Amino acid sequence: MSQKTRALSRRQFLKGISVAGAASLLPLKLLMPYSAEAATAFREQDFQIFRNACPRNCYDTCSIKTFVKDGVVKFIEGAQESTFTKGGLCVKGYAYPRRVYSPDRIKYPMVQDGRRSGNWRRVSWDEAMDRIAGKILEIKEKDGNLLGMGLTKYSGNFGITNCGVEGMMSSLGYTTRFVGTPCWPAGIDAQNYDLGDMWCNDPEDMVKSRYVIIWGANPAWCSVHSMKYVNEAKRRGAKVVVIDPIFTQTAAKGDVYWQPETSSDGALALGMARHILDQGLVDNDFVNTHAIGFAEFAAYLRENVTVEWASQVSGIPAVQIREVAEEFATADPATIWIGYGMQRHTNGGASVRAIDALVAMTGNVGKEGGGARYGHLRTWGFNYHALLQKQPEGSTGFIGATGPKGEFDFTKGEAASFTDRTVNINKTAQAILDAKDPALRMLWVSCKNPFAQDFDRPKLEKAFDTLEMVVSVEQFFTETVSNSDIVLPVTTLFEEWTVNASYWHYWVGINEQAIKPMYETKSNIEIAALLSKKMNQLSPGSCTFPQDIDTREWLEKEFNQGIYDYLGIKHWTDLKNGPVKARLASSASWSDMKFGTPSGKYEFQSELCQQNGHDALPRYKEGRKPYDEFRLLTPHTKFGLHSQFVNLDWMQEFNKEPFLYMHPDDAQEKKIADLDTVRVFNKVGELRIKVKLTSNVAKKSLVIYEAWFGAGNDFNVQNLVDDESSDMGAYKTGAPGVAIHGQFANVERV
Amino acid sequence: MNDACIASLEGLRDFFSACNAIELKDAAGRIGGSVDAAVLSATDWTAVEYEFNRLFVGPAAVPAPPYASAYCESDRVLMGKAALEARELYHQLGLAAPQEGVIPDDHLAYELEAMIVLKSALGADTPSVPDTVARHAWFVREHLARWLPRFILATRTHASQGGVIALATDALAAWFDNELNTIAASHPK
Repeated sequence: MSQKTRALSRRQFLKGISVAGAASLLPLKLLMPYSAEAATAFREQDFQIFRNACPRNCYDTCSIKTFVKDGVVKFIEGAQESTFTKGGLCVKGYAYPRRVYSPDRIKYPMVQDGRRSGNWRRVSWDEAMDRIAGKILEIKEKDGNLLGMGLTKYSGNFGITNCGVEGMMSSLGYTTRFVGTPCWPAGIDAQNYDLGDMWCNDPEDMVKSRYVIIWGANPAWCSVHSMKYVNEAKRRGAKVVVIDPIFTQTAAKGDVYWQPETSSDGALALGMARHILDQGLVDNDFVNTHAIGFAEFAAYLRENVTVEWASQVSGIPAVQIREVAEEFATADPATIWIGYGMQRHTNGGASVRAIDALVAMTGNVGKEGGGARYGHLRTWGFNYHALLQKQPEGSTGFIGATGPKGEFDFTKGEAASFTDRTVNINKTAQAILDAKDPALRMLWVSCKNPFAQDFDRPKLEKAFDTLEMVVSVEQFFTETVSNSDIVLPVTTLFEEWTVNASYWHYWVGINEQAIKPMYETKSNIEIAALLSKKMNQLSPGSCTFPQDIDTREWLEKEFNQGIYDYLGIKHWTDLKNGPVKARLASSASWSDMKFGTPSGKYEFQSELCQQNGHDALPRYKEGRKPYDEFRLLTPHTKFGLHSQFVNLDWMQEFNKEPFLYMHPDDAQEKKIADLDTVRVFNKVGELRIKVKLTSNVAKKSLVIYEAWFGAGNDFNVQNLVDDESSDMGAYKTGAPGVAIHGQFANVERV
Repeated sequence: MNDACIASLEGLRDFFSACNAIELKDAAGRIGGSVDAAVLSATDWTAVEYEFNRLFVGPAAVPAPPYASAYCESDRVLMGKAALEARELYHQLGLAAPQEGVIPDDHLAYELEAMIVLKSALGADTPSVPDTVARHAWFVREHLARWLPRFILATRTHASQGGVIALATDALAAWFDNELNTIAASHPK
């Protein structure tokens, strides 16, 4: 409250200036009255204000207010209506107008005469569609089906209507889909085995926590809006423990920092669990009434786990493990934020299960301010109208599997005689090379930059070279575009209608079209409509996608009564007044203790997990064995969302070039000095990069932030990351995750 | 004299708004004719198109964006004040960029077309309407002069020497120098 009264709004501030005009009453001779009103005053009525929502793959899914004048986005700010966004955006978000108005934006449909040649020609949309539709019909003619056409799409634009990309593929026939997710699948499966769904507490209720462990997440960079809840919890007396192999900005703000051996998280959690068990700090009511399998879990702990063993595996002193375990078990409520980074390992799912167990045995599941927080999809109950398109009559496809899956696939598909062919998105290169009968001939890429995100880049380039046609739908010139034949320019968030939900908080926001689409850009669903028109011109009945669409109408088609009831609104247009938060019975997930597991209880011992090829209990699973001298970590950067934003001038002002970060002791041994250029290499490939020495990084590990691209630099961490699978993910997302942080490399000065 | 100047401006307008090799070839021929420079008959026009796109269009980051705002703002960003200034000028002339706001109003080709309108009006008016004279002088001195030299420099830095794009850029530079000098002589500030 006091903060509110202290903070002057922009308007109040300017009013203050004009009050200073009282100075004109003084007997002045030289200085002239200055009209702040005319020169600098901000008057809201001078602007058209639109509601937008950040569609990036980020915890925060910010609600945005966009100020437009003369048909130009002048600036944007975070919506005040959302207590989560609370009027502020991150550094990337504030740069959004730079995306729209960057001179480097992709403006027209273009074709490249020879991949990676840089020889591009403009074509009309009609000609682009003619080439694409011609190729699709040629594939159908040659193969008798359309399985030779593949789609790789992920999280580049989470606006719900962008599911029309998948819809477009279905409307053409049965195709090949890259399914799964590189992001969070092991943890999703783990939480499904333990709890019956991935469903986190409202992050805003972290303020109620008396003890917060942030385990393998760096919200100070990757969820800046969540930090205010962590900070407030701390201000109210909570202890904040940060566990991360890198001393992050989040770690710097914690009370306790642990830098464990990477991928030893399961051992650490189990060691804590053993100590809690020994100390009699288990919440007996929870484990006896609301859970099954605790006795078996306790027996496993007693027989196989000691604090000393956990200390030995993790490198964290036993005395500290005991101390934090006791504090965690006695604080009420206590919570653990399970980051996505810690499950990107060959033992990631098992580690998340161990942490879930730690939260559950202390009675912190189903409790406000408690919880094993990972993510949720409760606010995603849209109609998926854009997604659900029917195959043309007579289409044939793959016989066998049940069709594509994914964590965002909310369709309850009926059994069909044919389905799409699904391949693992985390093994894109290998899947392209391995696809047979028919081979993959054509790839459509949208909302994704495979050359920045997919693993084993040298192999990916080889794989792309086997494709007869690659079409990329993009806003900027990425390495994927360079490896494409055709690029189609796509709209930014300000140029289309859609709606966005979060996988972390519980706010839903509308995304209004604020300006005309610039140049010849089109939204994903408009592109689909255009392709449909061309397909039907060339071969009537060959595509079922509507040929004439309006993105506003298609947004409307996504809503249903369930969403309205959950959000407490009458109509989607209510969201024009600002974002709305779901009406939650409790800020805690599972507050009614009715779990989604087969038993309806929390399952320390999961038969389903066992049936799917894992241990029934959250036993310790060792991480990937090192295959090179150093561990290689390639986490998210501060100034980008994967490869998005990093090419913008505002970002490059602070992030001019990528660096390798390594420990000074290791550098000394390798005769490497600060800012030397080094070669980082392993079995996958190599890259050359400047080095910065810092003890924020553990010894024997190399850290390179994930993505950077710009003119005159061929930096790509995927030259060093292979496509080894993580243990879990296949159950709920259709393919196992990937051991992004289970990577190793060597380094030498050049 | 004025007709020749307008023909030259038309050639430049069509060159910098060309979408393909055929349009580039046609416009370059007219530019060459207007400045007495021969375009080589052996010119590979597809290669010119590639280079044109690499410099001005994309899809890769462009070293010489043909928009005033990219040079006039403190940051390299489009649809800034310069674009709205250009829009205002067109409005004063009773004109507007097609689907206003879709292509930035300060695209070089639009500005060259506005110049054609101004020059035509100046040529036809006897004596010239003061508004037209003032608008023309403002456009040259206060608008084009703020960005064209920098655009020309960026293009010369990145275009292949002796090529068609260098030729068109030289023609643009020569026209603009002449325009600036003429104004300075006839309408001192």
